[in-house]
Amino acid sequence: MSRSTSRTERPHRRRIQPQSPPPEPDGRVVPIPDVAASGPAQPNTRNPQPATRNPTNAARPPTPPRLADTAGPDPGVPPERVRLTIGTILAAHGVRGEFKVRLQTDDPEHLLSVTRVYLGDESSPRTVLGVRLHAGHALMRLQGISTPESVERFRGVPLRIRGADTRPLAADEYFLYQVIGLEVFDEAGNRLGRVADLMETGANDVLVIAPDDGGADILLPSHPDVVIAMEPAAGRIVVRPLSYYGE
Amino acid sequence: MSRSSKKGPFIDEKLREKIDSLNRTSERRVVRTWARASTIFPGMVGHTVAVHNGKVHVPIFVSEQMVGHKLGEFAPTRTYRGHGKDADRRGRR
Repeated sequence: MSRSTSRTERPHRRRIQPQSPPPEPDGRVVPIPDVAASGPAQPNTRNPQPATRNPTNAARPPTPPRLADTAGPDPGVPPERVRLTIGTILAAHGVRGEFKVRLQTDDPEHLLSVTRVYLGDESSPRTVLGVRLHAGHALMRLQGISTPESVERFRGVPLRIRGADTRPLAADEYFLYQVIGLEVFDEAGNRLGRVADLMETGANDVLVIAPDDGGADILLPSHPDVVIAMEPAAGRIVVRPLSYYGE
Repeated sequence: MSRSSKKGPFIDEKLREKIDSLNRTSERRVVRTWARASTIFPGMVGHTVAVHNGKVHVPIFVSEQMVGHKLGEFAPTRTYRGHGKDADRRGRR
């Protein structure tokens, strides 16, 4: 019968006990200071830690900025006059200058029909030589980029297209930049604050409104019952504030 | 392992009572709830339920396609922003 290898038969680790301090020649016992309690005598120069570091937040990544704190056009600019980011160059793919793009558009299929893109802040567009979708990313070839080395120079650079080249908006649709930063009023004309962010929930989008007095954010669903009028050209939204059960 | 069909879907009783009372009076008020595991039942269609995501209550308008799903599916608990406001993304009113 073979010997079982259950978890209970692991070799027992010997626990290291702290040694008692050696006695002095006159028989007196001098206690050793507790290093863990008093801390090291010398500062840790290899991994210096800031004095205000909170150990509970050590592994927590930094909170990403709100959409209102990111760069982008003003809400009043018409879509025909803006450039919208469709993705960011990640890395070279193959040896012929093709590269992988992390998509930031919600309509990837539309990219297959795009013929011109702007690389970063370049003033003139580049011709798209080829684009295909693969494993959640886009693989693209552009005019002027023919080697993996030239792709490396553009790693992290955003790809933009003209607003006129995007899929046309439906009747009740808006671009993200058109709503972020708008002033929010209720039906009586009272100002509630400014749209600071937008949450994508899987159901309706949720407008995050930062009040002028710096209080708690107001969350409103982007739904016709609540958002009565949205006027990006005028820079305002008219909403019907929510009434909660039991209040 | 999935939940036994003999039990039926889990629906938070307090939430059901509030929705039923709103339906009796034909009122439209937002119901706050922490019951993310509660199943969306047909009586909730047309109501707005504010589902807690660990920090705030996210107002969710319940539509017919959401019936059978859990409330927590529509109130994400993590903040991930892979794009700025100049991204080619659309919202719908």
